[in-house]
Amino acid sequence: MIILLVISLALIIAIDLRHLLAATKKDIFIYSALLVAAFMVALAQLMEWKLLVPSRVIESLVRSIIGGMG
Amino acid sequence: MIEEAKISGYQLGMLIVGFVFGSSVILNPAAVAYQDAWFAQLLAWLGGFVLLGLYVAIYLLSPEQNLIETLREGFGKYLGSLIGLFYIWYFIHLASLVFRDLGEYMMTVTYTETPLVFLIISFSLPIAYLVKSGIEAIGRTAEITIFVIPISVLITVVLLIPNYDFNSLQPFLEEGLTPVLEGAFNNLSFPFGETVIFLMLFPALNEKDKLIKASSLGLFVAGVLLITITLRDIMVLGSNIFRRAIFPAHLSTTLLPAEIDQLIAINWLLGSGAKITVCIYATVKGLAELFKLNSYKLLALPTVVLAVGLSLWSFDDLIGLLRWSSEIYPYYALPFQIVIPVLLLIILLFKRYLR
Repeated sequence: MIILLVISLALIIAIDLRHLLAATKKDIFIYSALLVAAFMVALAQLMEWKLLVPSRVIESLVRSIIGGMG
Repeated sequence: MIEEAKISGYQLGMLIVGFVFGSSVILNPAAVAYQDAWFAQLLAWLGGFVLLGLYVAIYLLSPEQNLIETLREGFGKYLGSLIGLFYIWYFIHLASLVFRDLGEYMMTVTYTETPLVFLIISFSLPIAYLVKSGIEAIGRTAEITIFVIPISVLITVVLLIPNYDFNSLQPFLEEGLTPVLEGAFNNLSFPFGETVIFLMLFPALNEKDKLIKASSLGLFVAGVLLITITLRDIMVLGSNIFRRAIFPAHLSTTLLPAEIDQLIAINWLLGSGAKITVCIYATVKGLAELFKLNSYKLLALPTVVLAVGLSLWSFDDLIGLLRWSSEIYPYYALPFQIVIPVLLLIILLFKRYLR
């Protein structure tokens, strides 16, 4: 599955390659950061890492704030 | 960053109709009020006009600036950028929630044997292409697709007339105002308050004098459609089934001859498509503004991939998604939709007129 994930990301880069070649360093940096984030999220989904699931983090934050407000 | 490509007032109005209609046609957030859900929706709709007025006022105080630029102007460079980053997170997270809503609906109703991931990825590709094509393409797509929504709503409303039971709407306010206000609060945050995202699109409007008219008309049409659908579903299903059904709009149209219920799926696809497209556009536009990039179009594909990943990772199943959407989302969205915009408006007013 991880190999499939890497191939998918390589495919995305291939689709954007023409634009990437003309992009500035800053553009490429943000693009890479987004791809890495997407890769990490997909990896977390595959490995069933549940600790940092956004909905759970937000839920515990909201509940603690509402609880704190009484 | 001044937007070069432009959309017309009509296209903006259509985008607002599609965006507000979006997922709310299927998941009715006002259903907690049982037979008074239409009244809760009416209150939320009126509140929606107030919120839209707030967002338009913010834009008019700093014209030609998108939300990120306005936040920087209001809160200062560093705090404004930080709040802008939170907004970008909210936009991409909203896109992931709509992706998941869409996938779950399709998997439950239409493509029961198809894996969720395949449905969501299939839907994400045209959206990535659309965002990559720019705001003009988004506007034109809305112009030629969104008008289908009111037509199909009208068809289902007329065809279901023999099934209407007007007694289902009574007794009015049986449980008092509390469930109505709860339903109105849920409905205000989803979908009316989500129109805060249009602060990223207003600078792309070519006819600035039509901003108020186009956005109000868009919200008016979307509100009328949502209330009509809620009244239809209550009268067809009865208040109890309406409250308990996961997809009440789909359930009521199953009473129609075969294949007509697919009109709901078409509405859902068009509305959700418009909503996710606007969310992804706002995300990439916000990122490009925040980091002063040359173009936002390059970021479209990785942003869509990230949203798809988040949509799959965030919830274990449909029940978890529904529980989170009804219990947590209204409070989570409150700062983005009301608190920060109100603060921003006060600061902008202070800077413009009182200093």
